[in-house]
Amino acid sequence: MSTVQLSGVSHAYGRTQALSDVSLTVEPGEVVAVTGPSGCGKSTLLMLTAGVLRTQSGRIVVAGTDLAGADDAARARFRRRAIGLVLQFGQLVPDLSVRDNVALPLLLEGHRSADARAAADGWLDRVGLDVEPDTLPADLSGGQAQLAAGARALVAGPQLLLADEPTASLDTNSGRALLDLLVKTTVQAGGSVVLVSHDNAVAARADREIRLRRGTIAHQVALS
Amino acid sequence: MSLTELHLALLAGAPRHGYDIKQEHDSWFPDTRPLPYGQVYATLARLQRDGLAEVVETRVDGGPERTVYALTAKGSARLRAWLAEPAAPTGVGAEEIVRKTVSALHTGIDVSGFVARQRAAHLRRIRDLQGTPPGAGPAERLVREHLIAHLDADLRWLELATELLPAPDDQPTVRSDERKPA
Amino acid sequence: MKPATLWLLAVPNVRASRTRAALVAMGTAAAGGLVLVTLALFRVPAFALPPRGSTANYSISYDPRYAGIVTSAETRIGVATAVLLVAGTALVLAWQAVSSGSARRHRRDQALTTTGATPGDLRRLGAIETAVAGAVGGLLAGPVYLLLWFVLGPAQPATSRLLPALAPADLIAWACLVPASAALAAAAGARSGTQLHRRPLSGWWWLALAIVALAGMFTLPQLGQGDRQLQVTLMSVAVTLLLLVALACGAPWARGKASRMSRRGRTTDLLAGGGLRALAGPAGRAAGVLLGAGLTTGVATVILGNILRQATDLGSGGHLTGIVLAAVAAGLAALAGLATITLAAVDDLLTNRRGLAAMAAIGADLALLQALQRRRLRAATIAPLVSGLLIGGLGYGALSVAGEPAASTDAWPLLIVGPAALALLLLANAGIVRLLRSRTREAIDPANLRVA
Ligand SMILES: Nc1ncnc2c1ncn2[C@@H]1O[C@H](COP(=O)(O)OP(=O)(O)OP(=O)(O)O)[C@@H](O)[C@H]1O
Ligand SMILES: [Mg+2]
Repeated sequence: MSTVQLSGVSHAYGRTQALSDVSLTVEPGEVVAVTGPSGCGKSTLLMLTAGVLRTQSGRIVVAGTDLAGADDAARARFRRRAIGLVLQFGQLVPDLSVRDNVALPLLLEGHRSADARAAADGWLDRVGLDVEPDTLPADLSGGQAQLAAGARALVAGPQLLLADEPTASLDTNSGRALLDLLVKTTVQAGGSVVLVSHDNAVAARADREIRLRRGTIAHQVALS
Repeated sequence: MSLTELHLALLAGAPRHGYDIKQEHDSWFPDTRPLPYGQVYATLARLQRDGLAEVVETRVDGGPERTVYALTAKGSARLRAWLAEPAAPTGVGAEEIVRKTVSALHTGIDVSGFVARQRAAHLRRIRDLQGTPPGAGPAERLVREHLIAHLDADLRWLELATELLPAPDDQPTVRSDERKPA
Repeated sequence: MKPATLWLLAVPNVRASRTRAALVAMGTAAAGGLVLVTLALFRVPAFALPPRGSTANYSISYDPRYAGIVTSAETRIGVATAVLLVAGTALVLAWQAVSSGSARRHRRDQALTTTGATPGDLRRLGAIETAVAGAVGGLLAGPVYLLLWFVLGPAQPATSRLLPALAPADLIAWACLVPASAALAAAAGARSGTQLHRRPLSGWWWLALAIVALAGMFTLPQLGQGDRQLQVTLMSVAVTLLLLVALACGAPWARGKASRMSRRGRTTDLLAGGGLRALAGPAGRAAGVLLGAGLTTGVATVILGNILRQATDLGSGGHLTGIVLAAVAAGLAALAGLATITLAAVDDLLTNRRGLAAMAAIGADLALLQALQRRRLRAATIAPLVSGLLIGGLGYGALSVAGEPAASTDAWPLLIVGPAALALLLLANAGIVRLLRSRTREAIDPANLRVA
């Protein structure tokens, strides 16, 4: 069964039609890049798939959960269980230390905090974030915050990793390394990855490119 | 040599004589070396010889005699076949991708298909280059990264081109008798 | 910057944060009204009790027009202190209102700085914005005083009245109060308009201060042995000192508590700890106020127990008035404390929307965020109230027994009042979380994730 299944999905913000009639699937173990010019609806697509936005029309089934029929609390539980999320902007919780930010998905899942923090330290190390784990997000550089967000997305071993411009504020080398880690870790565990990016080097990591244009799919091409 | 196909693209909009073709070329590619007349006439002769173009009219309006050429069905098919292939993702010294993109956008022949194929070709190449083979030293990696950067630049330019030069919605560029049913 | 320019810049902000201006005005009005009450209290003709051991006739001090606690010079000082302390909590609330919405003002100030405004300009701008509200508050203090005067004066039976008839002195006091409160509010506004980065005093300093204040509380009244009026005055000074220290220690205490919670194992503690750290200032002030309310309630409860035991005592009527007053004062103070932390929480929800939305995106639902808010409120309020009750009740009990070997004290009403106060507090906390619900829901809207 496909990890992601969207059929006939449309989404509007007031009178702005951000997505119209989008259908796509993502298979287990597949890496998909969603590209397209600014404002074409990439983030909207990602947030719908993550269940952060409520489905307005169409059908979205992710990791066996029908998101259209799920209320806010059910979608929150779904995200904890199945999704690793890297967001485009300011995604760390400012009140929590970097370590606790990374541990957050495990904490929300009810893991013991000592375990969650130990796991978080491990992931901070793996993404190569070299700061005191008690640092608050406000004291991180943009790129460091992005590394922490990457660690947080991986910490719970998600079935589906959704990343919105995961490397936008990193230099080429660190960006490449983070992307490698995100993709390899998830795929080796049998999960799928959806990458949203303007960066062609990021898109090239995918098995398939889905290009959006003004809220519709302009083309889909296999890259592998 | 893609100059042949480029001439086919220049002819695709409407029948033209040699001077027109040169003018059109120079307006498609301003800031590049202007097309020499000799080259235009030599190419047109070759097109005619190969049955890709035909003379439809010989005009004399006061000035020198002008021969007007048009695409044949064979020429049009050749143009389409050319545009159906993405330019090789070489990254460096890539005039081909510029010619093809400009031709596709001006003629409006299957633009979105062209963009999809070109992106796929480039992305695949980037993907191959990113997978540095085991045992490759930093020198090899550097060469690969140089290519990746250029391919990335190509793709960015392609994106910009499709934004700046939106293709005509219908495809009026091919003579009506040759227009394929969509 | 020219005054006209300052005014031009100040007006939109005042308009945009009308709630802030209204709260500043309300807080100042309440505090002002209470200050006027305090001043009026001293117009009541009072008698000093004969020194201890003297055989002079007790009944001279009985004035049928007023409650006993205000005609006795020493208890009157206590009453005045209590009223002023309530006024103080109203000011705490007003200060919280002054500093609310600071994130937006900070952004504006930064924009102004980059276009060439000096720190002085920003201070003046901040001052203007609150001075108006302060002046309005000062004006409103008059009606507030009239209301209080009516409630504490004519509305009471003669033997429970606390305030004398209105007099020109009231008018004069009011006239002085208006510019004073405008100036105070302006100073507060100016301070909130400067990004002061003071180095916080270390925990040891606070500990030392608290010990000094506590020692003062016990030793000051001893100094006045023999002269009851002096003793009460010193006692009042000591209590005020203690409460000021409690207020000042609040923030470091809250920060300490937050980091202890962050270290603790439970997930809600850990996550709520971060939120408490962010609100350490207002949470600490609320804690200080609640500690004061708890102390007052504790003392009043034990006095009540003693009175109930000696129900036939002549002076009990006057004491009861005092106890009711103390209870009302404690209740008002507690309300002001809770309002302070609520205001801060609302402000936090507005400025911290993106963080909350991010947390929700990771998988925290509304219920969890509300649980964190509840945990944070409880962490800031329960311990201070309970320790206030215990210290006040048991401490007073011990003190009142200490001097006189034959005396005994009744602390049992604490067993009723304590749990009741705790239940009320829990209810209030739940109410606050409920009140914040719609704002929390807005804060976790995914649209808040969009902006950089
Ligand atoms: N909360 C919102 N309210 C109103 N309009 C919105 C909202 N979110 C997105 N939009 C609009 O919907 C469209 C798609 O937005 P979206 O964020 O999905 O674009 P995007 O492809 O991610 O762009 P970018 O590459 O710049 O991040 C845009 O026109 C945007 O203005
Ligand atoms: Mg986006």
